[in-house]
Amino acid sequence: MSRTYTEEIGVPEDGTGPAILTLIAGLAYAGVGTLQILVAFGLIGPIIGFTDLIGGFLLIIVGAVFLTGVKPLSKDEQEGYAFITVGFILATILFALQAMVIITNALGWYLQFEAWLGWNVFNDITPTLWMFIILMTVTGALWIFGKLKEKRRPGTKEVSSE
Amino acid sequence: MSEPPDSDLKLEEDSESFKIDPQLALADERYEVIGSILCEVYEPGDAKWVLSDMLDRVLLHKYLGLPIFVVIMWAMFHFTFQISVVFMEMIAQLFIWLGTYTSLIQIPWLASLLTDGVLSGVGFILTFVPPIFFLYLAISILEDTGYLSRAAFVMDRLMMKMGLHGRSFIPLLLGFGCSVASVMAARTVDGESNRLTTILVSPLMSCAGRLPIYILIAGGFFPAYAGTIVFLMYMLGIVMAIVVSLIFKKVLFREESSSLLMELSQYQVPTLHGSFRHMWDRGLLFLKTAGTYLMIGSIIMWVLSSFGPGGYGVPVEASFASILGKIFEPLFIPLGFSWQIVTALIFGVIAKEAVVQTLSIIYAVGGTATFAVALTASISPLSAVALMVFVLLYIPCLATIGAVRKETGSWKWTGFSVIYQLILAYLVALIVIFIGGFFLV
Repeated sequence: MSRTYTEEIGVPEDGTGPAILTLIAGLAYAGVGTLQILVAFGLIGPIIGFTDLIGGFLLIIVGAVFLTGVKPLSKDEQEGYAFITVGFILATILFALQAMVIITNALGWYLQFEAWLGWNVFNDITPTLWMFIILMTVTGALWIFGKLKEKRRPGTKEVSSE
Repeated sequence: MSEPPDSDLKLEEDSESFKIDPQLALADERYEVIGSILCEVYEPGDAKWVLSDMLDRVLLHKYLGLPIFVVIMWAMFHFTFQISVVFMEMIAQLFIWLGTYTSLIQIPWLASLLTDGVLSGVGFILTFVPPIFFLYLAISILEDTGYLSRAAFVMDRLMMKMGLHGRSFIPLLLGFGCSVASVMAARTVDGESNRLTTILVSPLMSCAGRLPIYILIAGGFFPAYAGTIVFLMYMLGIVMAIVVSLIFKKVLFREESSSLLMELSQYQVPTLHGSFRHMWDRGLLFLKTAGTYLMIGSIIMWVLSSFGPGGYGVPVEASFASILGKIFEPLFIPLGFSWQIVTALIFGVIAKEAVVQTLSIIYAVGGTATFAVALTASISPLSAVALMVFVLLYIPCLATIGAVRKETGSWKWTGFSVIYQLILAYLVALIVIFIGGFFLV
């Protein structure tokens, strides 16, 4: 069943661009998650921040949410935006959590507690952190690019309400 | 006084004559009224979906709903453990600082009572205030957003496939906070056998009282994966509750499952005030327990570990606590538990927080770091995992036993609940030792 969202949500009608973004985000999250699992199992060499097995599975789930949205978006079906939204929410939760872990660990290191004396910020920079930063940067850049393209398109004039 | 409407009288007669749950009868009646009004005033048209529908499209998705639930649960327990560690250390440092003053008291027994009894016992358990409060905060946020009811809906599919009642998952979710609340919430479940099954398996859900022991063991033995291990313990609680329910349904009860009917409210942005208020209300219960039962418990435990047949000041190995632990120690040799742990598990029947408190007094340590060192010297990593599993599955506390007695109205089912949990905990811990022996030494 095709669904239409209310105007307040404000989703674009053309789903091609969002479909490409969702596909890239989904593949990136699933790919990095798989890599993390391989590192955790010792099948490939160690990479800083790629140690947590469950963290790898979580990234694959986020990737799967994004990828499920690709098909409806490529058909310009608005319900595809639901998958982008939830994918972003999950990516944000994982990012915020890791950011809080870094902040509290930094606090322990600053207070010179014994368990934090050897703490190194680089060990806490996990894929959930930098993947989200890349995702937001790419999304922001595409949004600005889309707005600029819309403004420069010939023949589009703002309609006055008068 | 006005006369009750006819529909109310009819409803009362129906529920009495057919033994229908009054709540269900009310819901049916309400939907009938809503349906008749809608038939008159509503014309199907181009109704549009709001943000809440948009989120439900994915969060209640047939295949993605369950994995997303797992991500959210992991985030909740990771938040509970990882964020609170530094705050726990702050509180531990405070009690160590207080201990430097109490140990200077000139009367030796009083100095020992305050330092090794009260501060090592109650003071140590109070270091777990941050993770318990953070857990309650996370549960409050999930409740306030409206996701927790969706979680029951998501799990319903899985539970229905296993022939269980979907509504049972709501009391089970409440069990993350407190087992007593979970057992009492089982009264909302339809059908006598469904309700009884829910009451019997509710204590298997990991309550906040078990959190300190997970944090200590996971942080001490597996520091790099501590958050994940705590999360896995909670997941094991859910899995065991489902497995045991399934066994009960096949062996003890054979009532058919019915569908889950729930009204899902729209998602809300939780307010800071509301979430913190809920956290405080629930967390206060833990503080009250620490200030009363655990305070008395720590004094009793200090007496048992400081006195022995030889009088006051005997070594802890010759104390009454040691004698008590050594009586039951042979039973736990296959699990690799020392007499200190056995004594702590006996006191844990009163309240789960008492396990950590008792160990703290026996080891006479003042901080999580030193406690972890004492514990790692006492048992192997594999036995530590078995201990977490045993703590997860055996009787939560005396209050839960009381709640089971009250809700079942039967000493037979209460006794059955206690015995099956003890056997289950022992068997699963033994399986952990057996299977884990291939991976962990």
